[in-house]
Amino acid sequence: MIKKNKRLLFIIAAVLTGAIFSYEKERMMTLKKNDVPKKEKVESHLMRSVASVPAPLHTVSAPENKPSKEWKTNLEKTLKTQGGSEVKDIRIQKLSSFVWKQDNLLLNVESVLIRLDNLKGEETSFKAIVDAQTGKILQTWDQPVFDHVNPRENFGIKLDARHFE
Amino acid sequence: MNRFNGLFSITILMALASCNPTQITGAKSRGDAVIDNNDASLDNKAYIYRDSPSIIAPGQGARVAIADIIDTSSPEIITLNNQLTGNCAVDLSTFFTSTLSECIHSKGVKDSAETITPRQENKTYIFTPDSEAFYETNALFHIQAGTDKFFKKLSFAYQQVHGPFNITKPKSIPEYLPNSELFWFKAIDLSSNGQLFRNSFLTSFALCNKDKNASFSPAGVELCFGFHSSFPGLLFVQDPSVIYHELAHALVSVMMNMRNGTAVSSHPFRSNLGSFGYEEAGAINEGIADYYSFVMNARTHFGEWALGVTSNQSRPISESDAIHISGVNTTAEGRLSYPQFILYDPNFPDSPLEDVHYAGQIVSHYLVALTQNLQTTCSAAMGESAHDTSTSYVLLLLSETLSEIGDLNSFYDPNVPSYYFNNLNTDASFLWTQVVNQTSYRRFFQIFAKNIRNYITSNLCPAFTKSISEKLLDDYGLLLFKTYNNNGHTTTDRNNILNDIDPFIPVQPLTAVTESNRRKSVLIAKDLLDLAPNVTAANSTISFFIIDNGTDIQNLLKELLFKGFPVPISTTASFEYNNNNVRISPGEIVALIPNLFNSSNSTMAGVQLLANDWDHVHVTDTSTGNFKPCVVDTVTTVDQGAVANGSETCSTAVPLNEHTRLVKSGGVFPAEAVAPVCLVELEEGTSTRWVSQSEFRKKSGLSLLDKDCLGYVSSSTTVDDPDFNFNPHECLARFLPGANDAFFSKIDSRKTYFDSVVKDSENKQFNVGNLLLMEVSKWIPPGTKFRCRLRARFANCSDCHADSGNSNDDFLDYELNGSKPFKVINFDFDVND
Repeated sequence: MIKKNKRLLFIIAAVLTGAIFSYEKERMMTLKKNDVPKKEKVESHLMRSVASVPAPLHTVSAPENKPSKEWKTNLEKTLKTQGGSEVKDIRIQKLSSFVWKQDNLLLNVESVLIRLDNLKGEETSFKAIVDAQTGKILQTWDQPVFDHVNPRENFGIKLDARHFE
Repeated sequence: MNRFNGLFSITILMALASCNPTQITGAKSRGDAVIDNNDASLDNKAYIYRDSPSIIAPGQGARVAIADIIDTSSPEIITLNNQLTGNCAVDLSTFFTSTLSECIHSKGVKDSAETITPRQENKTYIFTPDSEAFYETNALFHIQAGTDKFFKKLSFAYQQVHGPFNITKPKSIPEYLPNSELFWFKAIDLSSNGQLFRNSFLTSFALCNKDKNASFSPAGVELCFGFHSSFPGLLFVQDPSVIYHELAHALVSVMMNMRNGTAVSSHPFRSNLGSFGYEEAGAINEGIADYYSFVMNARTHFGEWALGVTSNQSRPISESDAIHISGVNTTAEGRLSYPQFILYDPNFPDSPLEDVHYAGQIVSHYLVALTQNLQTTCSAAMGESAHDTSTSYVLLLLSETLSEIGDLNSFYDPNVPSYYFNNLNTDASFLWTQVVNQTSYRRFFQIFAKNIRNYITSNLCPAFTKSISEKLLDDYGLLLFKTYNNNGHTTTDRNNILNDIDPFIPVQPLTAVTESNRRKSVLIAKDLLDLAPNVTAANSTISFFIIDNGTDIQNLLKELLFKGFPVPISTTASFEYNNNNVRISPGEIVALIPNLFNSSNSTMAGVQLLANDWDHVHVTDTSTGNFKPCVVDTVTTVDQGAVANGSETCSTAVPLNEHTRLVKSGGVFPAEAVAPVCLVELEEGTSTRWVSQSEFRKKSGLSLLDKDCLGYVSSSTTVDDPDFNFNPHECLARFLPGANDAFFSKIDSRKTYFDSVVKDSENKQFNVGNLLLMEVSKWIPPGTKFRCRLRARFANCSDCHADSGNSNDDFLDYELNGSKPFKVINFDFDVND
């Protein structure tokens, strides 16, 4: 009896699973046919697609990103200015070139991995996108999470007593 | 017989090695084979240490020889690969397993060679204890164990979330995860010659050149285990709880980015949980990392060896830990509650400190309490291993929560990519996740609680009711929200909902928190936050601390850079101009620390101050981008050149629904845009008005070209090459990108931030997270007056997040472009000669 019940339950479960699976599949297929909701909001978003944004000159003249020769040198110079004499080594590895949309602009950018060594031989790394013409840093991400053994020894800014004079 | 020969060799070697405590100084030997014979029973295996020396040989401080804690009774399979690499396998489908071969690389010293140690000729991974290869082997064993456990739990989470019981629920872990392979650090082609990740594997460096440090670097992707220079021979890799903690940072990074790519495309950026210096996102990351140590070893304490022995900095993960001060216990009243325990260091309870690791204890303690509560409340569902099942529940909640928080694509369904439900929209999402709507304790625990309702209460364990969940959150002071924000609307319109694109998901009514469950979590009105008055008498307060000491600023910039945060300094400013007069002068780079004052009767916490562009002006001329400020408070008035609030052009109640900066595009400026925070006062005859910096430079007689402005960069060979990203309305003074938001742990009742946190601290230092960095053009005439309109809000705020005009539903993402969710903080300054 128990076995029969189990069998029955199994069959019901299998039928249900099959029904759900086929419905879900059908739903995904339907959505793939660009079943965009008929709401004005959605259409207005679609109208602001990348292709419709007025393109700046250098995008028009260089639809395939042709980075300048200076971007990497300029980027290195920027990093050296900030790090000063503590910078031992800078390695910039290009990951990709692409057109980045921001503020109704289409900018040719280089996506890079930057590695820096300080004089103690300690390394840090992060990613950035930089302007393919000027080397200007536009965005950075993927910075390390450092876990110092003692948070009390972390870098801080001392209070200047003159503030209360 | 052969096996016994091998064990005999090891025993002899152990005995020799244990004569002296480990003395590791820098480079280690590679580690030759230590067994002569292997009858195949030791193939691919090694003897490993299962826990840290402090646990296996307690009470001996740092004087434990690593050879003495190796478990020689039961060798473990390290890898079936022929070198020290591990594989990834996760069952995201009933029908097949997703696999990534060699997804973990285990190395020792980080140098140019960086070779992977091969399996020995005797087919084992048994190396001389204390050798480089020995630590590579142990690191791989523990990382693989942590990864396997994560995948097992992710498999559970995925199959629950996408199972038949949850078909009507909005879900965050994407259905296409098996195809995108973003369950790991999978390199994805963005174009024919690029990739999102450099590597599709995680590399561990067991003997990293970092004194007193361990780290996770998502750019690598790398784990790094350092040493302690005061304790020769003591290595972080010797403490498996530290390995699990660092691995957990990697797993958080994975979970944060699950939604950020499909099989065919990917967002160009990745989300990170936390930045540099104190902020709550980083504290949550640390809390989860401590919790993962508990997931792995079921111990409610972390870092006894690497942190405890060396620095008295090991951390508890439960109130039941003996290290806590009296009064902290597992009762509702004794929990480690927010914000009371934000600065709490259980090792030095009389010396509070603002740090993500201490604040993160609230998160780790809550997660352990939740785990234990699930074990008791849902005992029938726990199966053979209550710890394993309950931690799987919590990992389900974490993966759903983090993948929603870190979502950069913003769409729910890639087939409907322009219908945004999260983090404003695809273009602005990075700014929203990392800055404007960055993760606070409120945001995290509101989404987490929503997922408890969706997956635990309504399916896995109905006995863990909404009320139980809310009460437990409240025990920790974390019931910081009024509703679950669960009605599934888009980021710009409450009338557009998930049901529009997914008929399986019914219209979701907004669920309110039961107010009687809120006993410890205090919410405070935003108007009770302001700048401290500037009084220079005895017992004085000060509105802003200004740091313009050139050496301090230079050191700060170096520190930022070597933590991965380059700050783009302009050619018209430099720390060489800094004159150290604690005022703002032409050409300087200054650090500003606003001294915020809490005039309420409760402690404010998680205070965030934004100095990024926002919708507070009305553009009057699209050819120049000149604008008039909108009236957003009683400080800048119509008489001073502002446009009245409520007018069609300056309605602060309806800000711009995208984040478009005031930069030229197609030869004109946008008619509606977010603008830089700093206005400048223009004198015209006998009257003055606040104007844009670009208008000021033209009308005040300054003959500054664009290329002489702050923020303008051109390539060296082509001077005329325009900087398309340049914003002329921050030509004279600007907050530096990457350093234009500040965070403050807490402000006590009727006190300033300085008095609450810094004044009585051990070092009387400000945290880097407290700073805003500003650069000032060297061309500014002394005496020029500026007004910067900053925006502040905090985690336990009653009206910064919930919109009382919409049944306490959260403000829509686009509303964070305006002033309504914030308290506007005006920072006025004159440029001093």
